[in-house]
Amino acid sequence: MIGLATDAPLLKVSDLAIEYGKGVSLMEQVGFSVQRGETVGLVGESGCGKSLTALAVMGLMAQNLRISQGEIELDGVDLVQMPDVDLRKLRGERMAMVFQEPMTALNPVMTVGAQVVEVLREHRRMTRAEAARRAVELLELVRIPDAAARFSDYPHRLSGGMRQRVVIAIAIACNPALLIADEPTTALDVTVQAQILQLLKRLQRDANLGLLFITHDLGVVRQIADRIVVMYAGSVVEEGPVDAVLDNPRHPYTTGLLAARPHGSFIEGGHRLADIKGTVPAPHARPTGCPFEPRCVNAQPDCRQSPPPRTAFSGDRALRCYHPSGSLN
Amino acid sequence: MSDLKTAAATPDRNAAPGLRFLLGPLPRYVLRRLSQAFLVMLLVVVGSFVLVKMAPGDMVDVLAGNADMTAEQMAALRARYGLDQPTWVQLLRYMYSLATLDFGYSPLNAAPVLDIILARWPVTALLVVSSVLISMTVGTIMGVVAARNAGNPVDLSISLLMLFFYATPTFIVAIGFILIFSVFLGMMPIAGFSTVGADYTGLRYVWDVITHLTMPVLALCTFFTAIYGRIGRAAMLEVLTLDYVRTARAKGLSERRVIYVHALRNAMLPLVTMAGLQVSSLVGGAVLIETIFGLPGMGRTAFDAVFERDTNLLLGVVFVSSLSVVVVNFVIDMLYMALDPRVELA
Amino acid sequence: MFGRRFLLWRLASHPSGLVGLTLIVLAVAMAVFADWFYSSGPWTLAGPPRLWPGQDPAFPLGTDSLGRDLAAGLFHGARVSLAVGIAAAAVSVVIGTVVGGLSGYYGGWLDDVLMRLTDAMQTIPSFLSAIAIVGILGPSLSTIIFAIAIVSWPMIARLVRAEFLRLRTYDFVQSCKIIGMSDMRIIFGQILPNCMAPIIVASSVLVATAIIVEASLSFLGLGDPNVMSWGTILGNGRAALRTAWYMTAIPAVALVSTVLALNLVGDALNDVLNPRLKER
Repeated sequence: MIGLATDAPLLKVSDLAIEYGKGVSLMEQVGFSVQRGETVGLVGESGCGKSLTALAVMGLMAQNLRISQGEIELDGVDLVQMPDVDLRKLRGERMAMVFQEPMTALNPVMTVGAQVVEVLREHRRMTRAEAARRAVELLELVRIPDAAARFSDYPHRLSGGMRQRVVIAIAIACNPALLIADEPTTALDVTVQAQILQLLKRLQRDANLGLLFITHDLGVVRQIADRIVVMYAGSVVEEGPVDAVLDNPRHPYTTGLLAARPHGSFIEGGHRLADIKGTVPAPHARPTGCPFEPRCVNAQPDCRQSPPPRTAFSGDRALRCYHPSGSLN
Repeated sequence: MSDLKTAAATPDRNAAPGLRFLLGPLPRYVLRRLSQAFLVMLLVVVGSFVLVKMAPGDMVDVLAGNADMTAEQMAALRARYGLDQPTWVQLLRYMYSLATLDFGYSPLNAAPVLDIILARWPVTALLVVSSVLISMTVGTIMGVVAARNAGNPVDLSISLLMLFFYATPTFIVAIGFILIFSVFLGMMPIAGFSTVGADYTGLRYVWDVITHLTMPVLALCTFFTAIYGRIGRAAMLEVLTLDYVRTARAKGLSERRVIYVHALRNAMLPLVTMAGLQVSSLVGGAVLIETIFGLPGMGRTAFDAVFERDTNLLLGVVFVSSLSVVVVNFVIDMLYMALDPRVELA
Repeated sequence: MFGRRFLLWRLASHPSGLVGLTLIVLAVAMAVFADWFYSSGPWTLAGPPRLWPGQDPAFPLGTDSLGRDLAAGLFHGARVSLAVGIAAAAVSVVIGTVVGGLSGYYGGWLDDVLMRLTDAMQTIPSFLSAIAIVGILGPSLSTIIFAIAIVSWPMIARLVRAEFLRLRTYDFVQSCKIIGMSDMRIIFGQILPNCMAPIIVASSVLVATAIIVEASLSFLGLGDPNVMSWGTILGNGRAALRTAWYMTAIPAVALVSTVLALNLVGDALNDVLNPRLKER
């Protein structure tokens, strides 16, 4: 395998820019990395580009979107330049994804087992019988009770939580190095949420997975992630170790998020956060300077001049802000 | 565990999807379909009866028109056919005779109606079944190709062709075929089921029938090819935006597998529903096609019956055609149930 | 009326709407001016038989096997085809709206009964039924219109029912009930005007279908013997298909373009009246 022996991070996104149609920029200068065995939490409000980043990594963006700049490296190999045929071989094999909506993520006219078997037979030389046996093991691994019987069920017979387990089983079937989970618990009941979270954590630890966990729930991030990447309006505004960032947020947006959350999570989709005035600007209406400037409590005239550059500082943290809150310890 | 509530509620979950309804009592779905089929036939019978009652003059008047009869002879005939009974008795008698497949006697053919229909049924069935298979296949392919090229010239030309197919009535397509392939090009036999007097046997005969049926079958196909193409395109475009297609792509499956295994199987569901309507419509179209191409099927029989005022034969054809359509629709419903595992919940 | 002109204007600025409208206007003009151009009617033996189009400037579209002017037939045929199409569509819209409206508004057992009936009607082979009706009752314009209407209302009924199911939960319907408005006034005065858009779209397709059915019946010789429709001309021309195919081709072109036009206008109406669906 390429690049396994190098020290390069498992996933390295650098200077990524994505455009819609002709020149409407959806995100710019997005960069972060995920190490083997590390969990990175990607947070932000709706429309800030979290899911888009995930889809870009998987090479599953909508046809009318285009990567105009930057690299996405997996094991040191750039995926942006890679031909579709080769990228396809990595999907489900080296990198896999779990989606937000378990109710619709599975094909309604195929049995659960067939959908697990399919990914195994796509990437592994396996007979039908071998793949079926392995699929049952996988269903057991994601703690689906009576897995052998569930194998021939159709998705509509399973609850949301069970379906999400199946989606996870599909994702980990070929032992990927990178797992992207896009709000995997948002659509589920609270009790089921905790179970799925635990499952992901366990799988990540057991297989030394690099996990990119997308969420709007800061409580969840603290529970599961090692590092946190905060996105706002298509760019990364703050990143660092999860405890350091959440205990001592520097970017006014991160501060606002923390202050706004009612019970550990801020409300997504409403476009309004209690302590942050205004809403996320639409992609074509973003300010020329710092994207957060119109809503920022610390805004100064110089914020309007140009977007702030990324500044790294102690404790493996980085920030894009001219006038950060708090202080360096 | 709360996760399992849905699964536990359905005990027979291990049964193969297609055979599910054979194990244990018939599900409500099957029962509902059966009662619906019965209702259709009841409607046909009552409709036929009302129609005959609405017509000017009765059967005896028609017979009397052909042969000179005295009033006494006509009254005797009316008594013999039960036409002097109250209407509801006549209706019950009529229902009873149809239930026993007794459609009466056809003066035109000097034979029982059932015998005539049984002899002509296979021709129409052959026409209809081949048309359904061909138009569904071609229409689906057109729809998928159009959807995958949505917005570009390929999509546009397919959509235009479909629009043209859709707007051209069956009998005009048939005449167009005759004009082009038989009159101008001389490639195809113009009419008949097989070459008269040739007495071919074996494969030679089969080939002869195929050449005779090609134009009729294709003429019956065009309209529904357009319908399948249009629905297929829309369904495919819809399905391609759904989450499970993204999941399939995230698995690293080939585009071919994503399209033909994941998307198409779901996009086919509305097309299968359409097949029932198509069979019903083709049975009507067969009247035109069989008349134009001189094929000895049920449609041609209905046409002749109308012009000979042979009401028994006409209503017999209507009854048997409707019965065939009802049976096919029931089969299609069961097929749908096998294709879409969610139906059991409906 | 301003509203209507506005709709026409929006239709005309839609590409397929413009093509469709133009063709329909042409067909309607033929129907309206048939008597003015060809006052002696379509049946007159006007010239030598089997004259090809262009052979004699007096008969630009030629003559049929008996010497009747094909252009006269086409103009007068437009009258019959359009009239039957519109009348049959109107009758089935009325039946379909009443059935669908009652079904959707009241629900319950009435809905069950009416919808089972609608399903059953849709299963019965419709053209065969139309032949049986016309064949047994005798061919005349009214039986043909009746036959077409009786087999094509189920589509409208389903459509109207679906709209009623959606609309009956709306606030304005609830408030009408609260102020004690009668069911009939709510159905026809309040809900129905709000589901006109899909009914209008479906009607244009219905007219097209009705024109095809009438032409098919006339082609088979089951048309009203007293009037000449495009289907009648087609049926007459069929015998001379080998030698004088223009007799068939000319009415066929008229028929196909009218049907095409109605479908184009239907598509355009759909886009114009339901802008939210356009993004599909």
